[in-house]
Amino acid sequence: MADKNINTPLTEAVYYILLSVTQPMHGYGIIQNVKELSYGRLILAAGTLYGAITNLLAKGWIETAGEEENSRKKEYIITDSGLAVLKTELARLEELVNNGRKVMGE
Amino acid sequence: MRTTEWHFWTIDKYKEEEKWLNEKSAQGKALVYASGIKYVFEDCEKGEYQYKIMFTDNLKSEQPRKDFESFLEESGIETVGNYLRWGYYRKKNDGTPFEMFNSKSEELAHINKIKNFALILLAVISIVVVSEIFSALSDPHILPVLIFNCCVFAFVFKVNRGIAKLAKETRQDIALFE
Repeated sequence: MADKNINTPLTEAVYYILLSVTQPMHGYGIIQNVKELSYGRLILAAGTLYGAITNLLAKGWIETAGEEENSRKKEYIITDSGLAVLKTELARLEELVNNGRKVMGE
Repeated sequence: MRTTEWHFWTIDKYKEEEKWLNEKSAQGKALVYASGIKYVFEDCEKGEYQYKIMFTDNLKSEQPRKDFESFLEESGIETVGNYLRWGYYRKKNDGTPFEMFNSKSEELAHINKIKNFALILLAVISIVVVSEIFSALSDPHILPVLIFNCCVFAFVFKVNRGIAKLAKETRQDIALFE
């Protein structure tokens, strides 16, 4: 069931960031992972990623993983509410694609 | 070899400043220090670095600034220096464009931060200018005071117009492309 408090659609950057942190990942890892997932099409700019992580942490959709206080490389992991957002977005994207396929006959 | 150059860029011209730094790098001069009007360059291979300038809230306090800079470092971006709330960044030229943001709307949010800053500056300058003129009313030498203050006001006003124009152009891009 879609939660009405969840704001979708997500930007493609946020969608791919959330997908990436379904396992613990640090900033540069996310950039690499998104590049791979999108076959080199989407290269996250550092300012965009930093802003997205800051906002996602504030919303509680992701959290820092592990307790390495002094580690410079912070790892991030998706939270339950983040997963819920991701599921809602996936359903929306499926609807878009399915309707597209129906009409375009592919 | 180190060379020093003096240049005055107003805040509405930060993209031109960025272009200038990239042209310097293309000529084999890499920026290593920037503070207001003083720019220090070191020899580098032609086009070795790409430069980016950013106005940011993160620079206001020490810890968020360090967090941001180490985050950038992880993705291969080096902080050349900070001046007031401006950050100068560079990355080795790997053939891909050096962008700080993926979308025009983030670009606009960045420009709006500069715009707000310029507006506060304009408000402060306006108050100073008006009070200066009022206090000089009884002064027989009011004319130079008047001219000087009007020039200051006109200058800050022009900077504001410049940054507002930049914001408008970016908004138009968003309407067309996003």
